[in-house]
Amino acid sequence: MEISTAVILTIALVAIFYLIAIYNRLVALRNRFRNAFAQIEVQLKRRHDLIPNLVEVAKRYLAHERDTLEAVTVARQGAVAGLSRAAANPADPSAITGLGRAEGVLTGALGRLNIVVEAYPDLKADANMRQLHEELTSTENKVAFARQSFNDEVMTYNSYRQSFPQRLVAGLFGHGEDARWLEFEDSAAIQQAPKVSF
Amino acid sequence: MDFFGAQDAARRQTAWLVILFALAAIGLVVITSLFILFVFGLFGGTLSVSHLQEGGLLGRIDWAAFAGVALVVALIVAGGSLYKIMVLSRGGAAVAEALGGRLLAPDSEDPETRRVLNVVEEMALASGTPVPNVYLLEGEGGINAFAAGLTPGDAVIGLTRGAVAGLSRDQLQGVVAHEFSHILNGDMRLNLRLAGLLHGILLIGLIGRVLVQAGGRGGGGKSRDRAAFAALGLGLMVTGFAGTVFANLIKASVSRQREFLADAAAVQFTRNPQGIAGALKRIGATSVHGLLSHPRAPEMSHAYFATGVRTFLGRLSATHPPLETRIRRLDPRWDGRFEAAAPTFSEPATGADWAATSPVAATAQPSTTEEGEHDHASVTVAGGPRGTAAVAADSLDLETGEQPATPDAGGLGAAAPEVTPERVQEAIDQIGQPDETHLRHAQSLIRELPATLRWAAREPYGAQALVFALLLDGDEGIRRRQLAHLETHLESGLGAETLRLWPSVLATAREFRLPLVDLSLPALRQLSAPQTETFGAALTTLIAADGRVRLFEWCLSRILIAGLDGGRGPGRPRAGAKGQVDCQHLAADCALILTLVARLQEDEAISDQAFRLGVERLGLPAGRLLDITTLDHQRLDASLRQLRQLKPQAKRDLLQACAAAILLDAKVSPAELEVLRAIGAVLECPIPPLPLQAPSASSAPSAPSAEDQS
Repeated sequence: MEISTAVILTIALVAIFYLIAIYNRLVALRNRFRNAFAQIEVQLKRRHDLIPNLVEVAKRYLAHERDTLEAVTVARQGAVAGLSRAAANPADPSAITGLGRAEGVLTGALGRLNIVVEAYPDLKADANMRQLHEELTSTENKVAFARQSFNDEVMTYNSYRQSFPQRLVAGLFGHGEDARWLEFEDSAAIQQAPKVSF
Repeated sequence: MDFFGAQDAARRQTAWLVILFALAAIGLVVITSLFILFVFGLFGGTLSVSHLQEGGLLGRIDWAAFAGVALVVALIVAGGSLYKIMVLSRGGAAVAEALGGRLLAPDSEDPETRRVLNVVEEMALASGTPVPNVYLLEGEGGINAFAAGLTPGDAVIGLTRGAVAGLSRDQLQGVVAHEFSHILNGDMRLNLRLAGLLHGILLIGLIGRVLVQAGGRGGGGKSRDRAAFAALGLGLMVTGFAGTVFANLIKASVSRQREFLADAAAVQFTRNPQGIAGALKRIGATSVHGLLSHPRAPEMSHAYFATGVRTFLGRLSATHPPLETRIRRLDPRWDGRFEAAAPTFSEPATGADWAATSPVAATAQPSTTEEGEHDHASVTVAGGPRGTAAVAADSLDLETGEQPATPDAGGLGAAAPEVTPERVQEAIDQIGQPDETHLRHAQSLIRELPATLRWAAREPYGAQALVFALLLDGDEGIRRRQLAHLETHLESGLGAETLRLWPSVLATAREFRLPLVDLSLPALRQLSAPQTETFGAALTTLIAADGRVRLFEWCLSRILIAGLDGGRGPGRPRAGAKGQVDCQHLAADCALILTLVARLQEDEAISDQAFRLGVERLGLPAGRLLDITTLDHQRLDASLRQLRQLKPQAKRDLLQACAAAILLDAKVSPAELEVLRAIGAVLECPIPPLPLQAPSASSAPSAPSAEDQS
C-alpha cells in the first residue's frame, strides 16, 4: 500500500472520530439543559399545586372577588398545560415560549390577587394564608434559580452549536435549531410578586 | 471480602488482562495486515493463486509495506480504544445518558421515584460515598440496573422502569447495594480499559462491514476493484469478529467474577439475602428478563445488574453468571421456581419513604419551637469559646470547640451502637464495605433529620442555603458580614433562605452535619457552571469571613469538592496514572496528615505519642511532630493531592495509622471522625459514618451541637 493511501485513510479516520465527538457533545449538552428543565418542572409543579389551596383559603374571605380568583384559576390551567407541553420537549422553542407566556399570565393574575388581599386584613392575617404565601414566595425564588440554571445550559448548547465547525454539521445531526431561553413574560412582575408585604 | 484486597486483586487482574489483550491486539494487527497485503497483492497482480499453491507466499511479502499497513491497523485499533476510553471517562452521567437515561430530580415527590432515591441515599450514607445521581431508563420494561462512573464522586446509578416498578423495597435495596459494590470495588475502572480495547478491535470488523457494503453497492468502477473491496471487507470482518470474540471471552470471565463479588457484597451491606435473591427471581419470572432494548445497550453489558444483552456464544461469553447459579449462591434452599407475583407497592418497609412526602406539609409545622431552640442555641453560641490565639489567616484552626466524647456516654436511640475504639478500628477495616448496622444507622439518620433540612438538601436552591447555613458563624458581627455577602452576590432570597435554615441546622446534632452535606450533593451537581462558580466563591468567602479556616469548615469543603468534582478538577491525577506509590515515597506528606490527626488530641504529650505511633505503623523514618504553624490548609491540601497517588493498600495503611493515632487515648471526638472522613473523601476511600453518642437532634439541641459553630 502506498504511503499516501495510508495517510488519507488515517485522516479520514480522524475526521470520522471528530464528527462522532461533535455529535456526542451536542447530545450531552442537550441532555444537560433537559435535565436543567426538569428542575424548573419540579418547582413549577409545586407552584401550580400550591395555587388551588391559596384560592381555596382566599375564597372564604373574598366572596365579592370571584373574578380575580377565577382569573388565577384559569391562568393556572394555562400554565399547567404550557408546562406539560414544554416538559415533553424542552428543546422545542415554541413550547418554551408558550410556557414563558403562560407563567407570565399566571404571575400577573397572582399579583392582582395579592393587591386584592391587601384590602382584607382578616385574610392577610390568616395563618394558612401566610403559610401558603411564604411557600409560594420560596417556590418562586427556586423557580428563578432553576430558570437561571436552565438558561445557562441553553446558552452553552447554543454557543457550541453555532461555533465552527459544529455549525456545518449540527443540522445533519438533528441539532439544527437553537434552544430557546425561558423568559417569563413581564419578568418585572415576577420579581415583584414575592415582595408583596404581609 | 476485603475492599482494598479486592481492589489490589482487580489491579493484578487488570495487568494480566492488559497483557492478554495486548497479545490479542498484536496478533490481530499482524493477521489483519498480512491479509490486507495478500488481497492487494492478489488483485494488484503481484500475487496469484499459483503462489499460494506453491507455498512461497511468505517469501514474497514486502516487509516495508507490511510495516506500513501494520502501523495503520495499529493506529485504527489504538484510536478506537482511546476514543472509547475518552468517551467513557467523561463520567457516569455521559454513560447513563447514552443509554437513554433520564436524571431523576432529587426532590421528586413521585412515590416510586422517592422510594428509589431514598434507597440510594441510605446506601450512600451507609457506605460513606457521596450520594450518586440516579438515572431512570424510562423505555426499558425489563428489570435491570447499572452503575457507571470512574470515581465515587462522579458515579451514577441507573435503574430501568421495570426495576423501579416491579421490585419491592427490599429487592430494590439488594439491587442498589449490588451496584454500590461495583462503585466501591472500582469495577468501573477495570471495565473501562477492557471496553476501550474491545472497541478498538471491534472497529476492524466494522470497517470490514462498511467495505463489504461499499463493494456490493458501488455501481461504477471496475468490477475487479469492487471484488477487491468486498474480499478485503470480508476478511476484515472475519478477523475483527474473531478478535472481538476472543477479547469478549476474556472480558466476560472477569465480569462474571465481579458479579459474584457484588452479589456477596450486597448481602453484606444489607444482611438480607432474600432481597437480592428476590430481585433475581423476579427477573427470572418476567418474560423479558433483564434485557434492554436501547441500541447502545451492548456497550455497557458488563455493568448491568443482570444480563442486559444476549450474547452470541451463550454461557462462554456471558457477562453475568446464570440467574440460577447466582440465586443458589444467595439462597441454597431455593426450590428453582421464579416468583411470578409482582410485589404490592406499599409494604411495611416503605414506611420511611412516606415520612415526609411533601415539603409543604413539612414546612407547615408551626415554626415556634424552632425559634425557641434558635434563641437557646444562639445564647450558647455567644457564650461559646472563641478563638484563643491570633492565628494566621490561612492556617487551619484546630480548635474544635467540643468536648471529646467518651465511649461510655449514652447512645443515640436504641438502635445505634455506641462508639468504642473497636468500632472505629472496625470502620477502618471495613472501609468500602458497609454492613447492615451502617445501613440501619443511615436510615435512622435520615429519619431523624428535620424535614426542613431534608427537603432543602434535595433541591439546588435549598442545598446551597443548607451548606451556607452550616458555615454561618456564631459571632453576630461575622454572621452579618457573611449574610451580607450572600445577599449581594447571590440569587435573591438565598440569604433569607440560609437564615431560615440556620436554626434547624444549629439544633441538629453534630453527627448529622456532614451527612447533610452528603445528601446535598446530587442537588448541588445540578448547578450550571456559572452557578457553581458563584457558589464556590461564596463558600470561600463564608469560610474566610472570620479570618481563619476552622477544622469543620475544612472538612466540609473537602467533602464537597470530592463529591462535586467528579473527575473534572485541575491537578487531579489522570485515571491511568494513579495508585502506584507507597507511603515511603511520600513520607513527608504522610507525616503532615498524621500531625493533623495527632494534633487533635488534647494533650501535647499524647499528641506526640500518637504521632509516633502512626509513623511507626507506616514504617516511616522516625520524625518529630511537626510544629503547629506548619499546618496551614494549603499545605495540607497539597499533601493530600500527592497522597491520592498511593496504592489502595497504602491508602488503607495510612487511614489505619490515622485511626491508631486517634485511638491512642481511647476517646473519639466528632472532630476526629470528621477529619477522618474528610481525608477518606479526598483519598476516595469512603468511610462509613460512625454513630456518635451525641444526643439525637429531637431530644436536645444541646451545647455540644451549638458550640462547634463558635
